Amino acid sequence: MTVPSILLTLIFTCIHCLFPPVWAGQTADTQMLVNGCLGCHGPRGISLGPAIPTISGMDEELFVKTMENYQKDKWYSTVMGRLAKGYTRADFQAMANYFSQFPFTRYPQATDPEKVLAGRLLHREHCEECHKNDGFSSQKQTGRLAGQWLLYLQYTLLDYQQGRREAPEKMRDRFKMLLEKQGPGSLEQLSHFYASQLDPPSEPDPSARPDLVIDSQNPASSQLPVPFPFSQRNVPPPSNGDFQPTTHPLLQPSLHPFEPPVIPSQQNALPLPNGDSQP
Amino acid sequence: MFTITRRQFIKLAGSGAALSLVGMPWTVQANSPKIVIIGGGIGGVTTARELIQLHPQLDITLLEPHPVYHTCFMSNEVLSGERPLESIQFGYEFLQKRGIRWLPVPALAIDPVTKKVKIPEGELSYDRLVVSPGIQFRWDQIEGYGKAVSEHLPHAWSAPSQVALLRQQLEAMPNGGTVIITVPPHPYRCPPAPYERASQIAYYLKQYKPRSKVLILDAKDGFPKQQLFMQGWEELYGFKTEHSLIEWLPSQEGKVLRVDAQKMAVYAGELEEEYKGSVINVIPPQMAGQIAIDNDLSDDTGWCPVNKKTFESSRHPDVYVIGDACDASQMPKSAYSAHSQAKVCALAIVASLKGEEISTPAYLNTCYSVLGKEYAISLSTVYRLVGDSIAPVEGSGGLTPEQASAEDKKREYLYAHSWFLNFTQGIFGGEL
Repeated sequence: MTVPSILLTLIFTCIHCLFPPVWAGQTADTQMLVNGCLGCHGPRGISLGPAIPTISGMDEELFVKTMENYQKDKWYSTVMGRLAKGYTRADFQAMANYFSQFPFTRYPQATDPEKVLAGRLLHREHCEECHKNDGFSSQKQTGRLAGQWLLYLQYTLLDYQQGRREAPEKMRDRFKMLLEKQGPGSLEQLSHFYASQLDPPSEPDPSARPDLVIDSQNPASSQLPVPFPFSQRNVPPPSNGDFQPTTHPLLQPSLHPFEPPVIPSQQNALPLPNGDSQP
Repeated sequence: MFTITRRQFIKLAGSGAALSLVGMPWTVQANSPKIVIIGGGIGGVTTARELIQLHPQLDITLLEPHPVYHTCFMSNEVLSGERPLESIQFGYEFLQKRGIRWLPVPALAIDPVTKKVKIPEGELSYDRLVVSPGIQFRWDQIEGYGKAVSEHLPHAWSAPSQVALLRQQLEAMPNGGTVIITVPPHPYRCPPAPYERASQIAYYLKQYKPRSKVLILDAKDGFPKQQLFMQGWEELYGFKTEHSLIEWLPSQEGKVLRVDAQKMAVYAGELEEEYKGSVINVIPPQMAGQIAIDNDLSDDTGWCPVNKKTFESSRHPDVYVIGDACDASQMPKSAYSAHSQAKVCALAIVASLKGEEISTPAYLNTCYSVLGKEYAISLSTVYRLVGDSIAPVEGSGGLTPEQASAEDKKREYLYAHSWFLNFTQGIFGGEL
């Protein structure tokens, strides 16, 4: 754990002590609304399931826009679009406000170092202009990519590639250029790069809320949810502190196997001259 | 009759999850409102967590005699061997750290007049009582089937030992045998689950006993997500072909009348046809848990009528009934429903303690059915209060589209498993 992340953890711990039960400014109406979200996205929108994105710390405007894209079926989804149709813009704004209060949280994930390396170069050439600070920043037009779940990133990029997720014009052009130049393998490399990112490369964007990183060696040091063990019966109760130190289930592949999707090279919505060039 | 003291509580709680004064919430005072929650399932635990988060001064006691909880959701994957029983197992130790008192004892009776709950060692008084007992079986509905017979012909609809027994029987049965699943009439816990179970068992048979099949004997003429299930069965298990691994018989042929455990036979349909099985899984008709029935919380339907805005019992004030046991209009009896109802109920209780009106309730249900490896379908609905009942928000919700590709169904499968992680983390996990 780096010094800044320890500091952030401490800051968060202090906030946590000040407002243990209910978060500042939160009304019962908002609580009622977001209760529906938490069942799938996890407590405070911090996901542990790799297909479901973490939505804590999300820019409010981006959150509302995102929900409207699902609501209007501009973006493909499994259940999100169906559920989004049950809420109003005002509901989305209340939800956005709630989730923006909590820090975006990153868990260490297994990624392929070669893809990470290649992905970093691709990101800096094609994506950094909008997804600033190696994808750590989140603004109204750009989602936070760094530290998002690999599986979710892979599927989201696949949806852009297949034309199932409408992109802003600028992104559409960049995306097309990326695929033409580097081939669809580049999406896989970008996904691994973003998923691998735990600490920002430079000083965080001052407008951004502080993020948190879970220390995989000592998750109990953090005030954030750590995945509980699958078999609690065999785990002795911890002597102190709130958390049972454990490793993430995803880091125990035998307990929770999942295979990342294969981004196909043959089913492209966009024409590609060369399939698999490596940078 | 006596009122239990804090000291007796400590004795009661006993060894492992020992309650200590240090471990109790620092804010609990003598005049803290007392909440008693009966049942440590999804509904009960979610209510407890939500209440303490909304109102840390509450003195909350959860009564659940079993030390370990097994989720019903994903238990069908245990039957097919896709996951171990341990992966759906959760403990209650975390409750104490959250400032919630867990007593590993059953509730014996409720006195809604003096506002007391009887437990083996005494009585607990309450300001608000939450009853979340789940279901019990109507053992008298199928001739030849009862609690004792269920030790041989498992229901596997609650209790991990039943799930383990059914799994053992599937492993022991010969290639070429028939697995009979009998499905009760509505309402029952988790309406699509019998069909997910048939799918998961077919998935197991396809791999290890391909000459066998699953026969569903149904008391109904249709079922949730029917088109999607049948489409999946066609794609995965040869449904509608000669060698189908799954056969479904609606009520005319499928309504179960009698079971003969000696002959391993089920008699069903208008002609009382005999069906023989190597494994017989009888899912009996159901009603609200015994504590609700015994204490005048249910009506003649066998379920508990409630105010849909608050989940307060229609029959007794300051008693709330949530989850499978309550009649929640159009919300299905599912874990997600219980979770959603628990959160509404917690907000309603806090509002009532403060003498305030509850905010507009919002309810949600999402239900995945996993049909096989990398193949799942879903149903999701947003509900609102309309008049006195809970109804879907028009234009929202719905099913996996029938034209969804194999890739999309794989994605639903991955989402189902991610949902399981996040849902159980929110309920049984270490933090908030």
